[in-house]
Amino acid sequence: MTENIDLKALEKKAYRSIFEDGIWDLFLGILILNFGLAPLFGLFINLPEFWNVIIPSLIICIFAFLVFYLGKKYITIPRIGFVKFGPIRKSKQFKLKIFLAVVFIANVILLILPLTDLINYSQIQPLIISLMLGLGGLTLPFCVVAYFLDFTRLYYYAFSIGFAFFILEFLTPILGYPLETIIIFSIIGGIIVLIGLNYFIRFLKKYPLSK
Amino acid sequence: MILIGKKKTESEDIIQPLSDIDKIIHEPARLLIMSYLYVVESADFVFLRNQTGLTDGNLSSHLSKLESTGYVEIKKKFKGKKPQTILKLSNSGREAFDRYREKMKQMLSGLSEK
Repeated sequence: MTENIDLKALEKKAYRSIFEDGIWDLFLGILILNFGLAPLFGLFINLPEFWNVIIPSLIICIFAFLVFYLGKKYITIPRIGFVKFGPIRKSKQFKLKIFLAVVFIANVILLILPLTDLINYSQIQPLIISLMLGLGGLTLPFCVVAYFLDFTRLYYYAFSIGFAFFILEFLTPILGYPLETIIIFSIIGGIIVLIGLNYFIRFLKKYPLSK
Repeated sequence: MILIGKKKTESEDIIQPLSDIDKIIHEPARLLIMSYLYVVESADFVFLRNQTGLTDGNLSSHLSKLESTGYVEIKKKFKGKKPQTILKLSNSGREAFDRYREKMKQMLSGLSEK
C-alpha cells in the first residue's frame, strides 16, 4: 500500500474490474452465435422463408440482452459493488452512444437499400460484400466500441468476426448455405461464450456474495 | 546552548514540510481510499472494499475518520430491501487531496542527495 500510487492506473484498474465478470463476452458471444444458430433453427421451424431465420434470431438477441441485464444486476453488482466513474469516462460513453446510433441508422439504410433497387447487390462480387459486412459492418464498429469501452478483448473478437466473414466466402462453394454459416459462426461464437464462461466462473470464485 | 538552539531551528526548518503533510490522508489505508474516491465520481462500500482489499471493519473505521474530517460524504440508502452505502469525496476532500499531492511532490523533490 505504501508504494507509489499511480492515479491513472488506479482508475483503469477500477474501471476494468467491470469486465472481470465475463458478461460482456457472454453477451457478444451469444450475439455472434446467433449468426450460426438462427439459420440452424430456421431449418426446423415451419415458417415462411426469411421469417424462419428472423424469428429465432430475435429470440436469441432478446436472450443475449437478458443475460447481460440480469447478469449485471443480480450477479455482478451485488458482488463487486456499484461505481460511477468520472467525467472523462462519461464523455467517452456519450460518444459511444452517438456512434452506436450512427451504426444503427447505417445498418437500417443498408437493409432498406436492396428493397429500393438503388443498389443491385448481384452486380457486386460476393467477396466484396463479405468484406464490407465483415470489416466495415462488424470489425470496424466493434473496434471503435472496444476503444470507447477500453475493453481490450473486444479487439480480438472484432477481428475474429471479420475473419469469419472472409472464411465464409471460401467455405460457401464447398459446404453451401446455411451449413458454412452455421459452422463458422457457431465455432467463433462458441469460443467467445466459453471465454466468457471461464471469466464468469473465475469472477464467482474471486468475489463470493457477502452476507 | 546557543549553538544547540540554532541547530534545533535548522532541523525544524528541514522537517517543516513533513509536519505540513495532512496526517489524516497520509495513513496508507486512508490514502488508498482517498485515491480511489478521487478517480471516481462515487462508489459503494462493496466496490471500495473489493478494490482496496481492506476488511469491512478496517474500511468502516477509516471511512468514519474521513467522514468526521469532512473529506468523505457517506449516504445510506436502500436498494430494494438491501442497504447500500454510497461514498463520495467531498469538495473539501478533493481539495485536501490535491494539496496533499502537491505537498508530497514538493517534499520529495526537495529530498536531494546534496
